[in-house]
Amino acid sequence: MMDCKQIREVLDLYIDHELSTEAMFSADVHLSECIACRRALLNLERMRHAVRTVVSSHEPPPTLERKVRYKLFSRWRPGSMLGIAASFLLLVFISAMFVHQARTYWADQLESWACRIDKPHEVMLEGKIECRDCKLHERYDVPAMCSTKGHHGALETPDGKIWNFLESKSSEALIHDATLLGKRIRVRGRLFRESGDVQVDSYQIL
Amino acid sequence: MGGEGTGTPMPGRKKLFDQIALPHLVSLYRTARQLAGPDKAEDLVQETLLCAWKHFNSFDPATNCRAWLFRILRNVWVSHWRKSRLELPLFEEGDIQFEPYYDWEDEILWNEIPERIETALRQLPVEYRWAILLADVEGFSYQEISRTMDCPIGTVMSRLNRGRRMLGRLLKAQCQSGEPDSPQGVFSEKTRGKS
Repeated sequence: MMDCKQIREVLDLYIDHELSTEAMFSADVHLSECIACRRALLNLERMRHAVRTVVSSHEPPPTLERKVRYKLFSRWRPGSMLGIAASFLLLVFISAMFVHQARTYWADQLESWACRIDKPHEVMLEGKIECRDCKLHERYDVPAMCSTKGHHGALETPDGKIWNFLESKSSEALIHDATLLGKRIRVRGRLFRESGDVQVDSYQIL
Repeated sequence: MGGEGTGTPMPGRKKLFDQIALPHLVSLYRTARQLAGPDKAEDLVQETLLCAWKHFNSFDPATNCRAWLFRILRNVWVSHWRKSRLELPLFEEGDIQFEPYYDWEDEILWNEIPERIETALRQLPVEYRWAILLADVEGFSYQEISRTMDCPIGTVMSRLNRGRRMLGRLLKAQCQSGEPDSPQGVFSEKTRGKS
């Protein structure tokens, strides 16, 4: 049978129900007979109860569960939305680059939009005089008749676009004078984006 | 391990997690609050449940979900939340020595101590605090506490024994002085760590 010293040493195991069956029985017998050890047990139980009461009194904020559910279960988390958007853009880019119809469609759309937002207006353009027909042949393999009809001057701007000169006194040399081919010029006039033409008011060879 | 790395868990798993894991949010919170403080408890709980959700595919629903969640809480806390190692090491090496109860507990006025409990808990070495929270608040067995804290059962017994003794001394000192006492004033030679 246990004595007071032994009980005091195993009081934690007793109160936590971690003693063997035989030890629990022996402890019960002693506790039924010893007031001092029963009081020690009661005090330990009171302390445990007080700890449990105080710690359990703190409830989580009402928003915590909602926040957790959103983070765990939301189908539209910022991370996944970003991934979806990035995947979509990549798909558009790939289709634009490698599918001819898509390329044509997007090019037409961008051109149409540019024409809508850029009405004919006065401009100053810088670029190089190039033969329009030679450029078409070079880029798109269109047959050029320059050997029989002569070169036809046009303005190539730094973005690679070819602008046709509208026939006028101011532009006559730019269109027909082959010695100007390859020269850099600055043109003042009006730009007609929809038809790809520029009306020359004046120009300066750079 | 399953979870987000292998794709979104099926709707059935989501419902299961909702049924068996999320109800323990309150338990996790009150323990987290004692370990990380009221300001950081929410973050600790969110991180714990997020980690649990990521690894939920590997959890066997037939086992104790609450114990599993508290192991994750412990791991998350150890990985990211434990304060600096400046705390004195616990004297746990060598033979486990238990401190028997004495009659000084009678001097504590139990109906006055609830408001002093949290102060005293904060003053305990954190591993003693863990043991007391898991045993006295959450009701885990020594075996479960041993798995949660990843230490032998003997160490669990020692931490509970010393933690409760220390808590009692802290409460007694507070009751006698009328204000929270410093930890050093109630440390016995047995519990003072080696430097």
